[in-house]
Amino acid sequence: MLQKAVQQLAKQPHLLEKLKEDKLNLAGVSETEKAAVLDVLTDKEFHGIDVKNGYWK
Amino acid sequence: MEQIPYYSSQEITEVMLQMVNTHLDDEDLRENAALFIMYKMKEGFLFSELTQLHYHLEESEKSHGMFHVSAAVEFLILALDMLDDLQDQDDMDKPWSTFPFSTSMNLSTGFFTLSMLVLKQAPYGDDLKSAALHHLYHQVLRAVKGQHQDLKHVYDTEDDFLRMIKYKSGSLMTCSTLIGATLRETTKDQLAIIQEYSESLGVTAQLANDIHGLLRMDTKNDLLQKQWTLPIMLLSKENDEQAQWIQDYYAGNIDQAFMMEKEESLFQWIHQSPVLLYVRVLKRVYQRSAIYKMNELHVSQEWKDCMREYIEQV
Repeated sequence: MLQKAVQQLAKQPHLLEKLKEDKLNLAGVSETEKAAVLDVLTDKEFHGIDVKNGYWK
Repeated sequence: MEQIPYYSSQEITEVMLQMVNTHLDDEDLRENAALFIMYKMKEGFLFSELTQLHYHLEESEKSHGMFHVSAAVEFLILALDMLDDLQDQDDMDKPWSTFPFSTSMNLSTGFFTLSMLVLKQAPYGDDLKSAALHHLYHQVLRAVKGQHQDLKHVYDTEDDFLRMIKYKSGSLMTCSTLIGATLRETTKDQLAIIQEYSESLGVTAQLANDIHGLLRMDTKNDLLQKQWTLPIMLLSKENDEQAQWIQDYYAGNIDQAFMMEKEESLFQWIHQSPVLLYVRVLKRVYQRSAIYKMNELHVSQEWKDCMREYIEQV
């Protein structure tokens, strides 16, 4: 479930804002997992997902 | 609670060298041992830091015996690290990898024995030391189980991998924390909490190591070295051309030269892969779980802040 959620966010990065606002329902993902997703995707070192890189079509 | 006491690496090393000089009755053997210990000291004594932290769950007064207990823990970790490197044969920079296999294996046995001896001789009550040794035996045997499963390279599912990692790496964290907490006569309930978050911390550390191993740009890269880790297993299951290269490489159908030729394409694909993102998230899940569980301990906020800092830096 968590892997699918991460894949979804990787393909649709605009969903991250909804997740931050707690407006995104990630089925089967626990609160700890949701918090971990936010931690990683908003980590300055990681720079989130670079949509401009163009790997994802 | 006052500040948690600091036990310097230098003093811990001195205890280790003293034990070597006392109990290893061969000059060449002692020289090799000293070389390996000094190398380990430079890497950092991270496991005994945990032992010290958990000894000082409630007590702030420095304990001279903790230098010996720290030395015992570091002898154990050194022994197992040596064996792990010799089994993987993937790190020729380590001094024990430059000596004949048999020489280093033999010294690993010596360090493992010294670990138990130093702990037995530490200045604490016999009952407490007996309980601490029980945890050492039990957790090391769990680590051996995990290592055996890892060496077989047969895991193909995430759940199996994580279970193996809990045994292999979680057990060593647990060993370090429980030894310290037991010598402080911590209650069974508290020990159970410590065991649980120590395992999560071990998984966190292993996943961090696996991410680093995947992303390093030198010949020690885990993928190049055909190490079978969770991120590599997940990458091999993707639908892209690069996933097929990984499968073929591990099956022996293509050689390392091919992989190195495709390095740029591979690294770009790995860095942009949702698999890498997912493993980072997984690592963070275990890290958060360790923190949440640790917060259930009935100890001072200062201690919890210190432990949280330790967990966050993994």
